[in-house]
Amino acid sequence: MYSERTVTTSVIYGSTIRGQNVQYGPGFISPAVTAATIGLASPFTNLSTFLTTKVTRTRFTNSTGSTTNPTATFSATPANGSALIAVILRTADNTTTTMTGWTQLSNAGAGGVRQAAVFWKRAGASEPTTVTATNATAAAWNMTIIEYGGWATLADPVSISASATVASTTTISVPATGMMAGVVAIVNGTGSWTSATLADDLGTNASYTQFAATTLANCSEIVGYNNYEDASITSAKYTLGTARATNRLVVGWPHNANAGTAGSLFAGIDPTASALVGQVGIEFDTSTIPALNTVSAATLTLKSGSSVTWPSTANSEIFSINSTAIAKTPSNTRTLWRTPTEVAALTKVATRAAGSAYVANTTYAWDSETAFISNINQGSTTRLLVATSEQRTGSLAGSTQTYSVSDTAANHFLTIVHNRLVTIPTVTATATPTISRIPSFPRTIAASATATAALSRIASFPRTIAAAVTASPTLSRIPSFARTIAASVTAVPSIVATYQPFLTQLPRILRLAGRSTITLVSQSTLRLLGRSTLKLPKE
Amino acid sequence: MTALDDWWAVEADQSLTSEQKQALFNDIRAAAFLAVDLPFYVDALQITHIAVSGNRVDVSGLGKFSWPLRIYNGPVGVADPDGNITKADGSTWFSDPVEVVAQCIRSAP
Repeated sequence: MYSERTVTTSVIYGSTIRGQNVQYGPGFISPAVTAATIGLASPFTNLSTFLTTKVTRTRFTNSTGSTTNPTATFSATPANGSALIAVILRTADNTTTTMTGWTQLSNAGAGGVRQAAVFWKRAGASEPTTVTATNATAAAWNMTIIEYGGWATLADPVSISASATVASTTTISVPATGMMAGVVAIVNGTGSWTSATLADDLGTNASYTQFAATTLANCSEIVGYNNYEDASITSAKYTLGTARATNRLVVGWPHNANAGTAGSLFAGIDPTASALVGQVGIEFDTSTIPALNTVSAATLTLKSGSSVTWPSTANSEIFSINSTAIAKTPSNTRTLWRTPTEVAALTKVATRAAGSAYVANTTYAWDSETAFISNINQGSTTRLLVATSEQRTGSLAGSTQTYSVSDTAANHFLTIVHNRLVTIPTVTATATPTISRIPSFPRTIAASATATAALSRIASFPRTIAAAVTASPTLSRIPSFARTIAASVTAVPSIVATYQPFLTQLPRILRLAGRSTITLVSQSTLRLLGRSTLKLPKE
Repeated sequence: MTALDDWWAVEADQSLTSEQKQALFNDIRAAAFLAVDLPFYVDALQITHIAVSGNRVDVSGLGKFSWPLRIYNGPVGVADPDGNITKADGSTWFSDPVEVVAQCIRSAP
């Protein structure tokens, strides 16, 4: 037996990349969310909530009437801290609507025919279930009240698109503002539309819930999916069955709609800019690294983005996320994003130190951790999360700690040195003594040598034993050959000659002593030829 | 037109599917790598042989390295501040497979 190690260096360029920003950025939400709300000052107390919690709708009620005081009642007492929204759509006039204790987010209409108004308030400890507004005059109205929890308990809703009149048309556009959750309403006062359907242009960026649907007023909710890179809805609109002039408005909680910088994806946290930045996932097809091979070294090389920064106090840290798909799929579920606790639970495979040089559009090799080689997903896909030490610890420096990588997957690569120990059996010629002494048998030696490729490379094997042993002439000298004849002669004790070939014309004398008997079995013939004598006793 | 120009043209073509793009990338890569004059040197290593199959480039040579070097889905040029070709985004590149081989070799642990 001997062993041989085959070594290969494989460089595998990235196949998929995706950046994902958090849903909010301070610059987008002022005054709805302040730095104190998110807890931007160390230790960033609300970071996990900020990263994971959505705006969640608890309940809603829709009511219609034509009194001066629109009213609706929640099915249960709103939770302390919930955000309450009231949408009042008037279909016959536009006189003033007020709500005591509530804050108006938007209010507009058309003279004498319609009005769309929205108010909100933070629920108290014993919030009444019944909500009442006051109109200046009695006229037909539609009122929807909604209770929001989750992130809405920390962040106030804002007017995303103020109530405004839209000229007669069958499509009512909703301004392209990404929404974590938004309440959208349209109202018409001069005639009915047969139907109103809300959808975003792509049809895959959000989910919709219709609260109220009459032929004059429609109030719906848009929940923007949060797992897109920019987490935004590009455009949404109502489609009406009949062209009508309407008033429309949008309020709620906007996403971080920062599309980032072309050519770059950012990792890290920037507590002062418009977005909190994010994390990046990169996928490498390592199916070409055989599962049986031993990976002896692995290095990650990333190319910087076209717009670069490098953290001054936070390290770049790369983590294994082999079980997380990187592909973009429309849903409202977090994919890449990890909270500090979740990041800390991942295996760190590479780092690059804070304060390192970083030039735009340049490749840099990260320092590999020992665990990297065991996290190369041999025979399958290797997926990595690009993050920072701040995102692992949740402890922030308070200043921008971000860096960019190219948004083209094929600009990043893994270098993997892998090897395989190949054991080649040396051949033992199992020529048993019996075989070696039988001249006609040498082919069995070939048969016993297993036909592996290694055989041909074994120098010691060219013993062709058969060739060295000559053939049959020695046969005549093998006395034991006689036994085959003897076996054919039955055990007649009195036969003296053990073997007397009758092949030649030599005289033979076969004497049978007295009382001997020769029995010729049936069909036998006894021939006495030449001078042979058969003596029989006298009569 | 350099190989990188061809590459970027394919990259920017929205009418192509991913599979069509990969097939075109493979063609561009094969043409570029097979046109390299051999042998050439990367630091102390001599590159003596290049073979291309699908999305894979096999590089062999002489010197202390874990040969062969196998490059999967590799590009045909590298971004470099001193590059002589400018991409639409303003970044500068070298359109030379030799630079790709050098980059891969130098990235090896």
